[in-house]
Amino acid sequence: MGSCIPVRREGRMDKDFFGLMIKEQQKQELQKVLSCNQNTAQFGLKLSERDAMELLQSRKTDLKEQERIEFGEGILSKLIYAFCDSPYLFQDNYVEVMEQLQSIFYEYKNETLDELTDDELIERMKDYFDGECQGSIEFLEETCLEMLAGDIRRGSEDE
Amino acid sequence: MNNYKMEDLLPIVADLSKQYTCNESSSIPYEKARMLMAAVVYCIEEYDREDCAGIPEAAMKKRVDPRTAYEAGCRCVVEKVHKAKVIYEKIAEDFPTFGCLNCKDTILEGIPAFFLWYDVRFKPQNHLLTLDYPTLRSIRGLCGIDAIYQYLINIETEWTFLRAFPEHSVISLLDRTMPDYEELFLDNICGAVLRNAVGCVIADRPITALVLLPGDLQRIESCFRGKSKERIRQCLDPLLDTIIRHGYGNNTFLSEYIKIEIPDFACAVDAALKNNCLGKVFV
Repeated sequence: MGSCIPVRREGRMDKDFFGLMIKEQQKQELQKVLSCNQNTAQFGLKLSERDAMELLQSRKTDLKEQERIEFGEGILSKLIYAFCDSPYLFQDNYVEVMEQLQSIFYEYKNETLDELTDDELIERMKDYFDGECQGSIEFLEETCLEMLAGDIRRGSEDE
Repeated sequence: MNNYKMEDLLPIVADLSKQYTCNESSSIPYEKARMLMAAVVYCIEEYDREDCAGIPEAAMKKRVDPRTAYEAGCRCVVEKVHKAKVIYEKIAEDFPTFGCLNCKDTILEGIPAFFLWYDVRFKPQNHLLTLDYPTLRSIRGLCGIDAIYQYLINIETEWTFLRAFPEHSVISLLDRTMPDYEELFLDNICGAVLRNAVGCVIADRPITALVLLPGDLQRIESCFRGKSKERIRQCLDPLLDTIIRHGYGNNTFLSEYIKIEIPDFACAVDAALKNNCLGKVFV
């Protein structure tokens, strides 16, 4: 291999590697997120291009913070589809809640040791959010998901 | 030699990531991404390095796109695993461990576990084992199947050397070296045997017996006394030739391999002469 790939061992990977990966993905993601509007319009929810950009920007920060890499289509459109029919989501809090849900999602992918698939984690989040959390992001993050992650880490998650 | 940019490899890493998560997770932790990128780089390096049988691109060293290089490299890795397995099966057919637990654990238990758990697709750079039993030729700098393959070649060569000696002679030598050698001997058996074999040549004793009698040490000492390390090395070279000729005919590969030990051997003799403890080298 030439000098463009300086090393082969895991611990010495080029620092730019992760930034590069995230940048590549962002190009395609904007259109995908905006296309969700067609579906969410029936629930009175809509993202402007600026909102979508803001959410994608926050995804970038979240991924960096949680030290994760996302390939292909991101999780945002899945989150939008899953949560758009929530009785606790309105146009006024839509962007803010989606931003927080996205951040929580990545956090708990790590906290659950990647034991749950994306769909499983989103399903749990939605159940908690609409159920015992009654739309409270703080309760979702600090209580429900914390307990779920604890159970998974202890191996006592029964589902 | 191929020369790819990091971004050329990203699509391959992305595909690997999908396979790794069975398409059930859109993101992976940095740690896993590093692992997958290292897997891709490892396979491409393997492609660059190897003339793999049955891999036409590799044999012709063609400049190819990264995905082709990666896939050909993967096949090279698999091919190497098969070659390593053939070598191992040949070794394991009749493999005296001389009661040395470290050797037994590493080769008879560790290596089969390697073949069971080695992950060509996602972690070809990880050879899983610490390979605690040392070989004369170091495998430092190698990883994945490269390390295991070279290690097995080393073991095969060393056991070619050791098989010329009766098992009881080697066991007796190890026992003299260290009474609890079964559990405590962590060194290379070949090196220990070689040293006493050289002692036997100098003292004119039967080489295969590996036994030196009282008084032989004086003869050995007189052979090396007053010589610099470099001169000791020069003395050892023909002695090793004698042993190889005596027991293995014209095996130049074995001869070259065994001679890797000369610098360490010369240092040990030099230090032993200075400290008046030659009996620790020639047991």
